[in-house]
Amino acid sequence: MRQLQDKDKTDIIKGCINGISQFQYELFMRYSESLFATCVRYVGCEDQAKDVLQESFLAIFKYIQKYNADKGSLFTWMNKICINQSLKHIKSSYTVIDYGEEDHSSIADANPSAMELLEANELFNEIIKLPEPYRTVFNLYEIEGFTHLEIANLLKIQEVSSRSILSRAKKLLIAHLQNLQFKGA
Amino acid sequence: MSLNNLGMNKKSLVKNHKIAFDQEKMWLDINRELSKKKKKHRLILLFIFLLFASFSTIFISHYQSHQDKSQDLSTYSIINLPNISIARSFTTKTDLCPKNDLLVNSATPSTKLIQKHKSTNVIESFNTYNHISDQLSTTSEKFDSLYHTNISTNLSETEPLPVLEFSEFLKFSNLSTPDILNIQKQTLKHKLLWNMGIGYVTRALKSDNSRESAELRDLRNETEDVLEQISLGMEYKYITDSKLTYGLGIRLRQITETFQHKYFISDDLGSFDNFAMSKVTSYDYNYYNEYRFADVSTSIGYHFDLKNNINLYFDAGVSYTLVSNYNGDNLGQNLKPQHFNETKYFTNQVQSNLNAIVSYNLSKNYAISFSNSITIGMAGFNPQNSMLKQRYNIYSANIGITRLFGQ
Repeated sequence: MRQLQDKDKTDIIKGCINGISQFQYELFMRYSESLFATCVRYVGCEDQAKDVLQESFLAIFKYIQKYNADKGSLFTWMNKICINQSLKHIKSSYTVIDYGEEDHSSIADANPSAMELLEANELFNEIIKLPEPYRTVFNLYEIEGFTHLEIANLLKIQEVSSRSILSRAKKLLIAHLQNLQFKGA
Repeated sequence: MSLNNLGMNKKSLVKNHKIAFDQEKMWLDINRELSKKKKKHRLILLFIFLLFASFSTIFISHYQSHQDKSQDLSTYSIINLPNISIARSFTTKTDLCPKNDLLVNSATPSTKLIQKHKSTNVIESFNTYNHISDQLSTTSEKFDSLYHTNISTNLSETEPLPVLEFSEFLKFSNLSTPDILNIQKQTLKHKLLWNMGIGYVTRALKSDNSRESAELRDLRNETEDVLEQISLGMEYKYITDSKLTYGLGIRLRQITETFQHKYFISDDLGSFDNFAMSKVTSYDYNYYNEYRFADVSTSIGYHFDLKNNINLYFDAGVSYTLVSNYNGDNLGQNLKPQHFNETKYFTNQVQSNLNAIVSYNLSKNYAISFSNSITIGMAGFNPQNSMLKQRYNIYSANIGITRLFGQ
């Protein structure tokens, strides 16, 4: 992704605030591929992710005057809007289930190097193969860096459920990775 | 496995991963949606503008017509001078008339006189006899009006609403910091709104089926004229995640009416030197009546968050009159002016309200708002055992300040 120069960025934001189509197009072309990947990572399906991305860009253009450069980069802000839209899209698939406590340490120590060995592309592909809600919690916790409390509030689940879902997600991911390594060997 | 063992670099790579797709095709879809929204917003703004323009036009024309009327009233004292000669010439005329005619005239009930002789027609018809009046001695009295204009509510003293230039909005514009994690939570959910407004009022007087009641209704419609409504209100609004709004408020209103009534009473004084003599008394009422109401209202509506810090609210609801006070004069059931000063509590009067509010965020916590309101079926003052029922419909334009708070 080509990073925008500050001057470019300011002009584009101003243009988008004023609703000028040329600047909106510029913003879309520069960021849409990265944001599409975010949507795919959360939604898990390219077709649905396209719908989510489209909704996200409509929201971005609607709320861009509220973007505050002091709080973070434009991409981070847009990325969060995409995450938000994705969560909205997949919200219906959540069921509030008490997964109970699990022994996380045993999973973490089971194969600590497995993730390190994986290429970013392969990891991405494995993440999107995770079923809901494992994919979402994994993305939020591991990729975005949310805490379990934040995830619990965001997904309206219990904090302990978030931990359990994450550990199950990791289990599944490790199982996939081991499978991949086995096939590779 | 934690964030550390995933590695910041790998995390960043996954985060910035790109997937190619048909961007042009999606852009066409997005552009089409944006155009639709622009069109929709333009229509809404146009609608609001037209609504404001129409209210302003109605109000200004109404206001001007009453200003003209108040000018007429101020010159009325000059017109009153020949009014004395009316009385004199009337006596003169009766002097010259045969006794039968005199009896007919003097026997006419005062109420009929009110209906038949109103305003300048009386003056014109009787001025033709002015030349005779000088030749004869007359007995006449002119009673000044018993009450005078209530100055405190004179329309000419009503100051126009302050006008805030749009450029001043821009000076204040300080974009609020959004909570980007959740767009829907960016809107502060609690709003406290203070506003004041001025409105155009229409009144409907309903009579029962009796003839007396219909006569009183017609007379009151002739002698009374509704002026403006001024109001002061405070409302609390709560906005849900689904953009629904719930409101609870209190509003003080004052509706002003004019009561203008002029009539003559002729008293037969008998004959003097074969001339019939009569005394004509002219009554001239000119009042400003005040109706005051304190209402509590509830409303439910919908909130649109438009571009450039502009918010739009539409809501509908009902209000309940807690206290109403009436101070003024109108024609009573005996068809003569009567003075009322009454306060009523919990009158079981419920009216419907419709509001359209546009607000502009001056800062994170303050907004200026303009609104149009329609209040339908507001019950007016009804004296006890009254044959008539009066209701108001109010179309008002308001300006106010909104305090936004909460998450």
